[in-house]
Amino acid sequence: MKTVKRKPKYLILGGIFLLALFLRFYKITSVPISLNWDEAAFAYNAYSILETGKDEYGNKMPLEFKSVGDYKCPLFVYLLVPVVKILGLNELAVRFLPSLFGALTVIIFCLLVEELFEDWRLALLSALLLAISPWHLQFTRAQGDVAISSFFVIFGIWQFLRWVKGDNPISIYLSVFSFVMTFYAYFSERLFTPVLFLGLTLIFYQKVISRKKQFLIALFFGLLLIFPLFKTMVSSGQKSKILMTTIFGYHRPEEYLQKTKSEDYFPIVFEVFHHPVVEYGLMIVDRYFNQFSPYFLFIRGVNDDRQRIEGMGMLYWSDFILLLLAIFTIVSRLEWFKKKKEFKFVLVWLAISPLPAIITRDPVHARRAFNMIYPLCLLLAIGAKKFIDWVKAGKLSFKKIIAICGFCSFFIWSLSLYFLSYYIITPPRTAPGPGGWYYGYKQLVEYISPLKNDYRKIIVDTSYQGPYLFFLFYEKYPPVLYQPQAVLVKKDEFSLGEGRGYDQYEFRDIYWPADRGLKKTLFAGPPERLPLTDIDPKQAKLLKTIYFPDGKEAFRIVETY
Amino acid sequence: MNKKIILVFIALIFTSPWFWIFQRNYKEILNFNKSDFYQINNPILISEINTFQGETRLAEMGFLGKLIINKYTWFFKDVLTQFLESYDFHYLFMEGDLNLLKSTRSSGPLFLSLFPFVCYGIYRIFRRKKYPLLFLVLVSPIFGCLFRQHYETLSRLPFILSLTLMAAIGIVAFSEKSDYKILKGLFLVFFSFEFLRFIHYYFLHYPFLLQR
Repeated sequence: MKTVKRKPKYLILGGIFLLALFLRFYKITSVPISLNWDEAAFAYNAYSILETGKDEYGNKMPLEFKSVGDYKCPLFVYLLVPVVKILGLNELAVRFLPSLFGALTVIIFCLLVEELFEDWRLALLSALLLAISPWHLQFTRAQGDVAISSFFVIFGIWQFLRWVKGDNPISIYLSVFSFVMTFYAYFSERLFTPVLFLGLTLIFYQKVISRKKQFLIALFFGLLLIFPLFKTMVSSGQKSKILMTTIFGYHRPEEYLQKTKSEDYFPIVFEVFHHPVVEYGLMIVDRYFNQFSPYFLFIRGVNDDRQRIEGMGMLYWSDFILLLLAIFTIVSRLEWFKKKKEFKFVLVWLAISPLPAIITRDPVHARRAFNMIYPLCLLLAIGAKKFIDWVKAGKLSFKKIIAICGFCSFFIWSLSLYFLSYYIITPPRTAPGPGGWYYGYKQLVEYISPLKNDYRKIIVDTSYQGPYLFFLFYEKYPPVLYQPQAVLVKKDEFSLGEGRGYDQYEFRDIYWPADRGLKKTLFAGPPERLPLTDIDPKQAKLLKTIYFPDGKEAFRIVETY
Repeated sequence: MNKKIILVFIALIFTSPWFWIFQRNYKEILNFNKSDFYQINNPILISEINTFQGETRLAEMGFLGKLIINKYTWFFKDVLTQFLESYDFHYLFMEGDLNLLKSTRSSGPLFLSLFPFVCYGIYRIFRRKKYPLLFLVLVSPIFGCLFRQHYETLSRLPFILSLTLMAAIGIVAFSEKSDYKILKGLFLVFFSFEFLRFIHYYFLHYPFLLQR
């Protein structure tokens, strides 16, 4: 009887997996519209490891990739190596693994929810909602490392629960192994995973104590695995990364302090009400709750072009009804939920997920708070289940028909708006520049690369950031030739760097009044760097203009004689 | 509703940032004109719809674009936006109205220390099945749609008052508990600090801010 019942569940789960795969692979190389510099850096470093066993700077099998001075985590690069070997160095190779891991996460998440609540309907609903979640799709179709790390987070939790509820000691080793992998996969998890693990241990304290020997051995195994990473975690590169991206490196502007002091009359007033503990404390509280705000979840999402979807937030508009229903369900059955350790864990999970985002400088951050999507999907599934149960209970009344039609129309509209926005409206709006998807570099390389031997020098402007990565990537430039030439130039200690150049290529700011004197040189840069009015036909010629999808000029390519 | 709740509710109103600012700038605040009100056919909305529809037409999905993005759906989305904005933590407890005449930008219309009591108050009325009060919290933000401006406080006063009432219910219920003395003391300290911080902004920084 049990097997008969199980079959359709697994069939449904299989269907959800196929849906998740389809949504993550459909038009994967063209939406998002182009690679961003992180993706190009991951892929080129994987290519470099594949060809030479060293990163772009010639470091042998490193555990942190210096890249553009942001010291990337190593796991995604090493996982990419076989993919680049099979598929080659191209867009599909970069986005293949995040999409695959993203779809696999949907299955693991379903099994995790089933393990938590022993409720297949809830588990399948959670998986379905995750499969179609805009937030999850956004980061599992591109910008890979977070998709890999979150897969390991989910797998780690699932295995921990299996160990707690079952008696298989292998599960705790798999769990610890997965959690350690998150340290190797994504920077933010280095804060989130230990807190999560601590939360799991405290919530299931009694079970852990009853098998403390297994637990301690697994913990020791985890420490051994994490040991090689310690050196990189305290490296000067990581320290400067922390100072650059988090509030620990943030100082209030001197102008603000002077102005406030002068208005405050008495120094004591300034010391009390503008003390860093007060102002930074409020800033952290604000950032924490911003992650739960309707503005972030439903209305607008994030201002960052690489994270946002035009016309909506990180969840569907209709999800706010499900969320409301979920809160209603939980509060009305609070006594029952209070008794369930599993539910306490879900709340802890949701509460700690924004931690990496709140210590960084952005007011909200969908990528750093990515782990929020799992407990949120679970809550949405609780809401959806409540709605389905209400519809199923008793006779189909007029009130019910209205509610069903209303919700379904709202849901279908929200879903359609997402797909229309994601595939058609958002790409041209988020294409340009370093805040967006770095559109134009591929076209630039395709045009310039065949001409490179005709010029003494090719100068590419760095206003859009990271041109060297795209030239290396699209030219498939042999790493063995690049490594001796690799030099990272930083404008100041708080900025990321730029590759100086290789062969005839020079990557730097173009200053046309001075640079136009250079003979037999090809220049590529944004229109403001190469003004048409200043291009003297006796001296130089505009060869080509590359446009952004919205028709604005992206690059001008100018040669001097 | 008992006397204690009413007293706390009144005390919370008198100490609320919005109350101090509104009594100072009431002439300017109430001096709104017709263009401040929400218009169904407002040009920004129509232009946004046209842009989106144009983009979908370019992608040869014009029909679908029109079906999903049109005056009715976008109006619905806009109203929903205004409605949901009312529940924004940053607006309610951190910075308040975008208009300097309605906020010092150093605190929201409610003090941060009231946040746990607002939640507790809502929980209490839900558990005691006082649904009309809960309905008030859920429905009163609809007045936020009256004004064109986002995060506008005047139109959200009914909602803010309903949250203040929830806070009063929460504070009274919490104060009646025999234990949690340290937490009660902490709340008093935090609330007093917040009030003094607001007053200091109000008298020392706010006049300069308004001048600028």
